[in-house]
Amino acid sequence: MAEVKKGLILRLYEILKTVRNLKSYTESEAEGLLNLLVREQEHTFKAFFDKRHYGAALYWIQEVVGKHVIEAVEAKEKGKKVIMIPFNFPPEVIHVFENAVPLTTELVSSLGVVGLAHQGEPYWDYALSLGLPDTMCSANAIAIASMLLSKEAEEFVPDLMISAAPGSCDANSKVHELAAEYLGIPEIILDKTGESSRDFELYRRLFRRMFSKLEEKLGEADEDRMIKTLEKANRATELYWELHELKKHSPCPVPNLFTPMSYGTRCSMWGRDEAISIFEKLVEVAEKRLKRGEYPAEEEVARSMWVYTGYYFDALDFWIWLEDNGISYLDDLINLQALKGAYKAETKEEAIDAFADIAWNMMMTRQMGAENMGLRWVEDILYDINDLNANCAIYAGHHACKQTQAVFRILRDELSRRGIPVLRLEGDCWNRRITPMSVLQETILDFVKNVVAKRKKLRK
Amino acid sequence: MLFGGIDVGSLTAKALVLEGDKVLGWNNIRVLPNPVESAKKVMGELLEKLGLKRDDVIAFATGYGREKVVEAGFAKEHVSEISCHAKGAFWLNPRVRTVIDIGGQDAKVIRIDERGRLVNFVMNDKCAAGTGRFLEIQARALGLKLEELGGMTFIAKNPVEITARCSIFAQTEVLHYLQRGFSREDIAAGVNKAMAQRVYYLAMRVGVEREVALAGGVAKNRGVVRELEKLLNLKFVELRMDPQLIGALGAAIFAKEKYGG
Amino acid sequence: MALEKVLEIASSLENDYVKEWKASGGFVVGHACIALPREVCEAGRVLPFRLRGNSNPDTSTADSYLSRFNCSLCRSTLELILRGGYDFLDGFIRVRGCDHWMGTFDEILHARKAKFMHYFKVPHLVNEDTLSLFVSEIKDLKEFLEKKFGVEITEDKVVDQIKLQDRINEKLRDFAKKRFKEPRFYGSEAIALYVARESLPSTIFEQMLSKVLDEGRKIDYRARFVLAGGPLDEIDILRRIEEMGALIVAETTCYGCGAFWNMRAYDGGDVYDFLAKKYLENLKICARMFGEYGFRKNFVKQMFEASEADGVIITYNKFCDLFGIESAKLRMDLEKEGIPVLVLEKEYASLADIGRMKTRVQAFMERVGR
Repeated sequence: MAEVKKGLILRLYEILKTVRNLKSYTESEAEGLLNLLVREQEHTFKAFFDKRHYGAALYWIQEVVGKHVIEAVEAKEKGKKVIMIPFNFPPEVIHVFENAVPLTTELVSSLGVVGLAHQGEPYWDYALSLGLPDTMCSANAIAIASMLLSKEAEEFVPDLMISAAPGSCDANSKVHELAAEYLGIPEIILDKTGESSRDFELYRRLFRRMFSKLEEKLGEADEDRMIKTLEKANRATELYWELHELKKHSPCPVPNLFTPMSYGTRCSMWGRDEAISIFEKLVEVAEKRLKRGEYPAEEEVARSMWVYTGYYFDALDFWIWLEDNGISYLDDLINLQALKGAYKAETKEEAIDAFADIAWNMMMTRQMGAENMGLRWVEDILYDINDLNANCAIYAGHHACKQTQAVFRILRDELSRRGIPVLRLEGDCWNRRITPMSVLQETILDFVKNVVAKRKKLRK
Repeated sequence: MLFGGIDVGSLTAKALVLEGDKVLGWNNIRVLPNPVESAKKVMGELLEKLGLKRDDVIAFATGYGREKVVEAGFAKEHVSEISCHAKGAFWLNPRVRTVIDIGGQDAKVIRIDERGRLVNFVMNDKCAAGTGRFLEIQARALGLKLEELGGMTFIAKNPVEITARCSIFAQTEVLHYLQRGFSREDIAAGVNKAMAQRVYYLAMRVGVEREVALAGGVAKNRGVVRELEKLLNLKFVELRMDPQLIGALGAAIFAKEKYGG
Repeated sequence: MALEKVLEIASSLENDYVKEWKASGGFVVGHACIALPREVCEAGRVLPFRLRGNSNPDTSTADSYLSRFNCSLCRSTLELILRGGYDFLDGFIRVRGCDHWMGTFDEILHARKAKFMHYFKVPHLVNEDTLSLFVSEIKDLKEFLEKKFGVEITEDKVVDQIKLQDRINEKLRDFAKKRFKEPRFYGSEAIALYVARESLPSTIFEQMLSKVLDEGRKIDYRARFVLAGGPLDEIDILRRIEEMGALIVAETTCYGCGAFWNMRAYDGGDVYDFLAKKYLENLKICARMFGEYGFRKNFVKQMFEASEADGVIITYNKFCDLFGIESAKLRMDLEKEGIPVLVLEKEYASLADIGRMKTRVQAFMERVGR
């Protein structure tokens, strides 16, 4: 157990700075590097160094999430402000400002869980020591707790927070509010009240107010830069859909890890060249694998749709293990982009409205902010299942996700009615203490061998 | 006048009699299904041993069923086990500012001030993690007696890591380690470490201020004590009494303070 | 005795007054949040009945809809709905409360237990824009009720109801004050009264309240506490805690002073603007309202000082993120100002939990030196 002397963000910063300096590596160089890391980091980092990714995963760590964290930590010395955002807020809104960078709470938590010795545990424990309940969501609580630690130890603190989850997630909203209060950081809050045009009009007004406040703090946003950022976001979205198309092949040529990498990019670098570059790489790798017929297992036994998200506390023994066992992680709801095409804007005002629409349709806001959460969730999952020809659905059952837990029954009933086998797991996606990976793996294998595979045979 | 304390826990019932500042005697039995019966037996046996009658002692009750023990006439008043453990530990060593009590089925961490007054506390009495029950479950899985578990920390070469918080999942991990050929010592040491970690998490909820005293049956597990000291980066102060008796001692002191004149 | 009648009403669901209301042509709709402007409903002879678990600890069927990670109050209520305990309702108004309630309403629809469900949206923020939306929502509610039940909800009728609620709120403040310095009522009796208010036609409640005000008597206690946190309607549990001498002398909860203490009285202006301000501003007592932590903290302090309490007990149901997370900051801030705080996480209506709760409350009383 590490005594918490340094925050998660600063620790990550040091690791990611080192990783950024890696050039193209040989296998033995990669092994050597892994031997230098402590056991846990080696175990999860191995996932990213795996050959099947053809370097794309390493590039992602370096140029996407690495840059995301490094820019935030180095922002101050460059005269920039750091805006903390939740994953359901479009980072491109911050990228339009030259002197601001976003830092995404849940992405930071996930990186900490994947990349640090003792994962997010010291920070989680710290949160509990402050009296926070152990039923809160580790996805945001880990990063938030680390920032709360800044009062006693060395840790990075943002300049401003945006809370985009009121209306879709109480837990997310509340923990961000607590952090803002505790640290004395200004917070701008959005609110999704429903799905009518009146609700959207309110949202749009709140969004515009938010944008004005950002301009007050950061200076006026440049219209050209705004339009260019939107165009780059559009291009990344196009590439996202190209990757999505490739997933339709069986066996799936898109490595499992590309899905979390995809939404990791969405909530950090969207609107920048880095998002376009990484997606070009992801598409390139997937096309290469398709051409070569590459698939890690002998047979693709299951084409799984993860109805919310996956497990982060063991990148190697989860994403890699799944496909080594013939289980393709086709997609999950966090990755599923809203069903819209490109956004066009010719003026600053149009650009702001486009961003408001994008924010309105971001993951979680769209589903859990719907007037009937269960039905909207079903609608989106069914779309994805049908489009990608998935043959089963798996719910990671993150215990702190109260909204999906509340309406999982609806999803399960609807999918079952349509003949799609559903597995419900229970575990904390960011905290290995709750359900060990071995137990999850056993359950998944049981499900795949005894339910999914048998249905495949029946259909044949 | 003599003063007594009765502490009915989840697994054991304890009784103690004070004469002035001297402990005349004490008793510790396995609980009976009914807390009143447990209180009657534990105090009854002690009084008999000391050649005393019930009326010779003004007793306070604490622990489970303390209200019923008072209603049945075996104690004059009742006080929470939290206050009793704080009182008992402080009386034994006025430098104590934090008491960690780990019992058979619950655990608590208590903060007191320089006058021995209760400042803050946290209890876990819902989940087996961080209680004696956790150790019982793992000891059974390892085929060890509970008393044998503590010493394993000192002979293990490479303690394993038990990550699961839940006692049942932890048991699964223990069995997996056994199946994979890890030594019993290494696994048992891992269990002791895991136990210490769970207590540590609880302690962090109220913070820990020196000096720190350990109470309750699990304080007899040297391995857990060692690991907890490492985590907290301190050495527990010794209380010159069986750690399981601290609650009963505290209850007796409360009786003395109220009725001792 | 009026207090006995109140306790009876608060411990049951469909009481005699609701039956009479229905028999005389009135309608009853279920809702789960004090954000619903009852004036608009009652002006149309539609009684808003607040859904509650009625201290039911069994959630076995509800657990197959909601999960065990959802609030036990919601599960308990859903259990009663599934068993038919709420079949007397003509439908539901889905007041946008917390995530747990939203899921519960989804499941009610999924289990086909709703004759109808009207979505009444409630913003999470209080500002000019959200108030404007809320005005529209209230007007929509009025139109919906008129269409659904074939009633006419005129402005005059709404104004009459507003004045009635103003009188009730004033009397409730009088009642609350009678618990402050020299308590004349138990906290469990107060909660029963507030629960009864949400289960009765307001004209009946006003009469009952007047009688209750005359039934105060001297109450013995060991320590005095303010109850803060999430909704608590478990009268039995509170009674058992008070039997130890821990008297609840005020609450900031929504089954407590939070429901009326800060509510504004009618100022004669536009009726719907007024209702929107009245209800949305009052809702700041709830942790679901973001950016209003300062208001809630000050409200707790105000009640603490007014009632000359010894400490504050914050309760919330396990898995409630709103109050669970906020309780951490609230405890820190109040303790810093010298106000002792006990935070109690509990399961709804769990008598198995009562031992744990009593141990903690007893230790808390010992801590505050009582």
